[in-house]
Amino acid sequence: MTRQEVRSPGRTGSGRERASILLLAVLIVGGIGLYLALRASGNGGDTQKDLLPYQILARTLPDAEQQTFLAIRRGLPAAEAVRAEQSQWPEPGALATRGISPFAGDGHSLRWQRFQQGKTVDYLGVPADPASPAWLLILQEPEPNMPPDPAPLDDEHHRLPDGTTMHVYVWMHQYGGRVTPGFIGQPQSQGWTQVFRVPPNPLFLPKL
Amino acid sequence: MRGSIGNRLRHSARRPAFVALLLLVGCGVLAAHKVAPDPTVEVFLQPTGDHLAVKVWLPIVALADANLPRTSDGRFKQDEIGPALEIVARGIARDLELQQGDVPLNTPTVATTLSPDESFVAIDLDYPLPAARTELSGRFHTFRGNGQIIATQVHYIVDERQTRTYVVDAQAERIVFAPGVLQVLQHFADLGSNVLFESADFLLLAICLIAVARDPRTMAIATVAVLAGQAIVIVLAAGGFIVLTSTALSVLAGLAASTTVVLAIQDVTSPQSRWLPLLCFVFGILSGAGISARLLHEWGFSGGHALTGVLGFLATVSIGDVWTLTLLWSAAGLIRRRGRVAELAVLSTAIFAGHAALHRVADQGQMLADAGTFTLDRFLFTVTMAWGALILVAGIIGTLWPARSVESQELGSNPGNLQA
Repeated sequence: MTRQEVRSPGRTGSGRERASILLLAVLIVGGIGLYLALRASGNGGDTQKDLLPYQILARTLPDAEQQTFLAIRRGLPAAEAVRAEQSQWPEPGALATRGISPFAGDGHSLRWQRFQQGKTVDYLGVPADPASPAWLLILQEPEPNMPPDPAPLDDEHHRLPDGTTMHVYVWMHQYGGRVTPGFIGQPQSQGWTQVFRVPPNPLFLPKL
Repeated sequence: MRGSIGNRLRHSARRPAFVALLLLVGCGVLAAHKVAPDPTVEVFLQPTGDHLAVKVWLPIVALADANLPRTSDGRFKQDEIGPALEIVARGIARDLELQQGDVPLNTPTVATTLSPDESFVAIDLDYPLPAARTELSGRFHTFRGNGQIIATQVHYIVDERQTRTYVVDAQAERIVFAPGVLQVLQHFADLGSNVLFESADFLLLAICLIAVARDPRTMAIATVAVLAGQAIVIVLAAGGFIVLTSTALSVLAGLAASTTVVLAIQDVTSPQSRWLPLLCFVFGILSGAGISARLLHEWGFSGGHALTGVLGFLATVSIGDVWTLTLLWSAAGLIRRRGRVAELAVLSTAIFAGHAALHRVADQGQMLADAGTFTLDRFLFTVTMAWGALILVAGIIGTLWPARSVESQELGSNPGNLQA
């Protein structure tokens, strides 16, 4: 009969290993905590790195532009409701009559026009002051017989009451006085900058 | 035991094998990135008496978004360009949002000048300033041209002798021209953390340091050597004693990366070399040049609190370096305890780190070649020969003054913990 002797690593060995693991855990948690604290106290990091050159986050815009961006986003559900009711997108004048911002603005605000090409509708807002920015709201419905968009609903993807998932894009042109009114198919190639509330989901990039 | 014939034979066999492996892994795919100088928008602000003069120099490429009126041959329409540029100038003035405290400055007068070759536009803005001038700030952003981001350099002329320069090359930001201590501390701590996360040089060196089981004292000395080297260069650069051109920075960055390659080779050929602290110190100096360039890039943000800025930056970088190294060292120690295979796996990380460092050497060489300073081949040849000469000198010194041998040393808790 053979005897096998098993030796315990002893208190010193296990203690050292425990200390190493604890040190590792403290370093990981401490480092991440410090990093998050620095980010929170700073300017939120360089989010421009997550964006293309023609994209920008709304919170980095001047206050007046942030307000316009928010007004466009807030006014969108009213336009969608009309689209669901009448099967077509309303004219800006109709929305203005109902007092929906930003289409119903004061004298300093934007003059809105609607342009359509196929299933894509542009709402173009040209400023009264040519040195102010112009705004563009693009609503893109899927072409017939297209497979359903798998993207989750967010700022860019809205679902109409009939179940259609459409794309919503908001663009800004810094030099509003230099914009020629008309349907704009490729805004990024005509000096427009796409504005986001949060960086876009890289899995579901725009297909403009 | 160090110096034994067996060890020497093993070392002499491993050295060429490792170098051959590095070359095989590295040579086939060594490729560098092309770098060309980029246009920038320059903004000069100078308060004089009750006025603030702002001059904006815009390369015409930065106005691609403005759809400026052109003729069919690409020239500007002379009768339309003036009003178009005025719209652009007023749009830029509106975007600057210059203010004192929270109060926006009054609307400026605007003048624009197009350079004769139509490559630049100068915009002159003249703002009336209130008598009590406090907390002047402005919002600055990048421009876009040819699908690329164009950085903005802001020069705030404090007086005839002092100009603060700020570079905005990412998202728009409000620059306060006389920031408080806390603002400065926060800005430079943030910058330090960015340097840590963006710079791969130290990470590669750290991997090479932990790839071999080294005792805590050796690791502590190596870490202190790196930090000391970095701190010396950063402080000297902040004090204005070192001014490095972009060419010099590229050369030093290439040399810093080559130090990592040498350490990777040393990990296999002579892991307990007595030259490790010196090598780490040299790395600290070389990499410190690049780090100090980042500091100087943001130097304008320190305002009148230069010391706070340097200390905040230095402390963040040093703590981050120590954290990275301790984390990797601790993790490597735990893995190494799994046995011989795990130990070899950890050691092999030095090969990958050395390979990545070789790429960085080639990248810097290519940058120099693009700038017309050296050819890539000449840079790589010079660096290789310089290291060869240094290693030869080290070998001669090692032969003439051999290190004190230690007859018996206790092995650490990690298997394979070799002691010098």
